[in-house]
Amino acid sequence: MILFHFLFNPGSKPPVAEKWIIDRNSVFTIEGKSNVAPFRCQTTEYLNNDTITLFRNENPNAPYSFSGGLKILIRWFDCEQQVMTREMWRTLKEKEKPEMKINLISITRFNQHSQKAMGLVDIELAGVTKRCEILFEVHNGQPKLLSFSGTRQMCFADFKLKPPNKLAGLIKVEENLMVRFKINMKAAG
Amino acid sequence: MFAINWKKVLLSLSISSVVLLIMSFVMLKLSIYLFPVLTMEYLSPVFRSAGKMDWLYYVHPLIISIALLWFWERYKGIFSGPCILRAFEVALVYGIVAMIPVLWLTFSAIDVSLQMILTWLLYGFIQAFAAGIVFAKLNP
Repeated sequence: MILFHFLFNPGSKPPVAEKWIIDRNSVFTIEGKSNVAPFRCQTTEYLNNDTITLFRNENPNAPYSFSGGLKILIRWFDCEQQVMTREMWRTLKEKEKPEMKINLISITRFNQHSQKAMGLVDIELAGVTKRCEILFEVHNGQPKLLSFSGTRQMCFADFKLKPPNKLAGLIKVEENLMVRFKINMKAAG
Repeated sequence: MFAINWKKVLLSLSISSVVLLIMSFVMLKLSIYLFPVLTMEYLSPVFRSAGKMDWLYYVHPLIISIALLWFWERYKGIFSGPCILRAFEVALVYGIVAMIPVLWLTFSAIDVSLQMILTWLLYGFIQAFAAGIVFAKLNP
């Protein structure tokens, strides 16, 4: 689509495409509460070598756009307690849809060092895709490193999931979740 | 055989069921407060999710009360002494004869911790003790 746009608008310059590789130390965290205790499920290591392309266009009013995204296996989430980990995998339908996909769509323009930028992201979980805005903190201090950190309040119902609920509803997990993203990237090549 | 006073039996059964139902809520709340890490184990996939079968959980005090009341009616003659001692003996017999073998089998077959099994044993013992007190008071 981007190529198509520039083929038929010869006046405008094509955006600068930068390829970034998602780093192993990227972390995704799901925090929630049950009526017993809070819980925290976190990926221990990001083991895919996913690459995303960031298009920086010249138009100062237009956000940067992305192509590509990240694939996170549900099994990478560890909730510190084995029973909670397995229940979370079951709740997130790990057997039917083993991957959670995060597709970066666009982000408002940012310069160097710590800056806030609004990102538009598609999150696919358990076969349901939800588009959401996330306020990222962008770390762009070193030339070959780029990092986005952000949090987003979500709920199980966003992905048509039911929170764990046991003993006839006497032990239950709350609907709301806090999802934390820390996407670290290295320049490709 | 032995004569049954149905009025007393039904009254004992009703009160025992209500007492055990209230106790089940109170003890679960207590375990959430006292042993939160252990109680989180109820979120394990080995436990059934809430849904159509919930009524089974809420009916369990009635089932235990019926079983213990039958046992009481049949063998109350062999328990002597004050009310609390008779209730304690009923709880002890129930714990040894019913709970330990079943929980042993449960532990061998289902992935639950030993601590969880021990709380169930204690829970069963306290349930039988409470039911025993109701029976000994209302239907001595």
